Amino acid sequence: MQIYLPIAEMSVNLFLLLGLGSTVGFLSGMFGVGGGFLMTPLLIFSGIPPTVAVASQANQLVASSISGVIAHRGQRRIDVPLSLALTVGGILGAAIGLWIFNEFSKRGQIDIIISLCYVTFLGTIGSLMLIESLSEILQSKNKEAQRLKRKKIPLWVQVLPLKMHFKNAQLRISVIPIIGLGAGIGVLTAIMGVGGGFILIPAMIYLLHIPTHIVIGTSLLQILIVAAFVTYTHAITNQSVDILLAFILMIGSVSGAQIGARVGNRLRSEHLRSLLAFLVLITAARLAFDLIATPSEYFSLNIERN
Amino acid sequence: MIGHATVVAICLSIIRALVSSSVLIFLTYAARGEELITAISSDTVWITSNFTGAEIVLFGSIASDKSSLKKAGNYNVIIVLCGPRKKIRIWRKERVAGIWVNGTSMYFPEVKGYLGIFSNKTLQEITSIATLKHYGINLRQDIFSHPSSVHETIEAEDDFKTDLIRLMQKKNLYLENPEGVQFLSDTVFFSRFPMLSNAPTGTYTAHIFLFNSAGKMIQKTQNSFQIRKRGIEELLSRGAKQRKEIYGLLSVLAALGIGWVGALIFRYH
Repeated sequence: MQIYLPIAEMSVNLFLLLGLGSTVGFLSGMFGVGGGFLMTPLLIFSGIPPTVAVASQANQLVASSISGVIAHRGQRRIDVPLSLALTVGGILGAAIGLWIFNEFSKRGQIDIIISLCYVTFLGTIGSLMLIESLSEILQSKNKEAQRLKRKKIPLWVQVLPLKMHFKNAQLRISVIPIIGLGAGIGVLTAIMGVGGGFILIPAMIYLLHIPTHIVIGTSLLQILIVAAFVTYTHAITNQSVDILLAFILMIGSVSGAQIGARVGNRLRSEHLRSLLAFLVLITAARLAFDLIATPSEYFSLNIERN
Repeated sequence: MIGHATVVAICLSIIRALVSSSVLIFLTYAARGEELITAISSDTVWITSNFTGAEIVLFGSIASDKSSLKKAGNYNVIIVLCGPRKKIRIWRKERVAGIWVNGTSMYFPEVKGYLGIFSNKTLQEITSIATLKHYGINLRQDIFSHPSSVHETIEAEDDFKTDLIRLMQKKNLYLENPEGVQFLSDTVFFSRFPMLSNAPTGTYTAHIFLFNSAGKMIQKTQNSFQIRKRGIEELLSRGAKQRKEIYGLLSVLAALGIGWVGALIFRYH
């Protein structure tokens, strides 16, 4: 069944979109990540204009992150002040990201920038995850040794001023690296339409040493606010948020995530992570191929929407 | 095929057109020889959520006295269907540091967003190239109403124009169909215009040219129709442009609502 998307101005197969949404939802439920980093490239592969894909994906992110926040709510699992500190950086970063997005959009290079960002981040994260999870599978005994290694906060983080105490996180740390981290993720949300959980979560655990049980809820709250800001700003600057597209994706991903979460509980985490790493690397490779391979069509049209 | 309702609608509108113009025909009969009467199956194509494209049918009738019919032999018809003008930029990919990026581009501020040329024979069989050119019947001509931004040589501009036409043909937005007009009898013809879902919204005008067997243009007329969005599609696309702030807020609020409901359902499981 075809459905006409009013902002993308094209008709797409409804079941294809629902399938895409639930597959990504399934994966995100299984791996505990947002799934935006898979959704946006898949939307682009299926012919949706990249600007519409990014903005609508940000809109979908609002729905999936509030679901997560509600699931993790309660004082013990979300550190609100820490989340807000991340959000301050996030909004700043998102504003910069939106400016970059619009500048490259004007010059017709935004598609390439989006692809390049994906290739860089997915490639790096995917390789790191793959190496880490494989080494863990191969030598699960060394786990304890690795845990010990992670114990210390890097010295350069310790010496920074403007220290704050975060009660739930049981942490006294400068707000500078937190705002900086939030800003970096905010840029990515604006350009790529991703929540950035795949960078934020490891950075919070390994760099800032925030307890794992606090990390997911806290990052979700930050993602929620930044995604809402990005959606709104894309809507007023580019008019590229397709509510209908986002709505279909939400339906698919909400239902897919529940099934995914159950399957995920049955698998071992290092196996899960190596699987996810493969998935991320395949997506990155496909995008990289499109950038490097000689195109079959040298020309492209940009028909302005009125 | 054309639906039953469509046929009835067309017949009715043709009868209406015939009745209303018969007086005119009677008055101008001796002077003009041929009269061209056309009617279109609907004057508005509505885009709704299940819109995958539509077919517009144009019926035409040539009224002529017997002597001029004999003189003229068989008639030929060419229909030029023009869509609303759009702003189009065309990019050429170039390799920079191993990566294919959009390199040189050219901007055309007023390009036809749709152009269909339908005829009952190939254009060259109907008339001469000079005549076609005179009436603007070809894919190249009249697509670009203004010269584009001149920062390239004429040859480069021509290159871009050729590729723009090629890409628009690939999207089925520019098309030429020498079997697009069918004659039901010597004097009655019809044509179907395929409007795909990527056809731009706006006003479409069909210019109908009647040629005699000698290749002379003897009559012309035109019909218009609109492609418009309706219902939720219209509401959303208009809202996104005219009420940006409200649209942005609504999209965030809707997402919050759906996520909330999703979380509630999740808890019950």
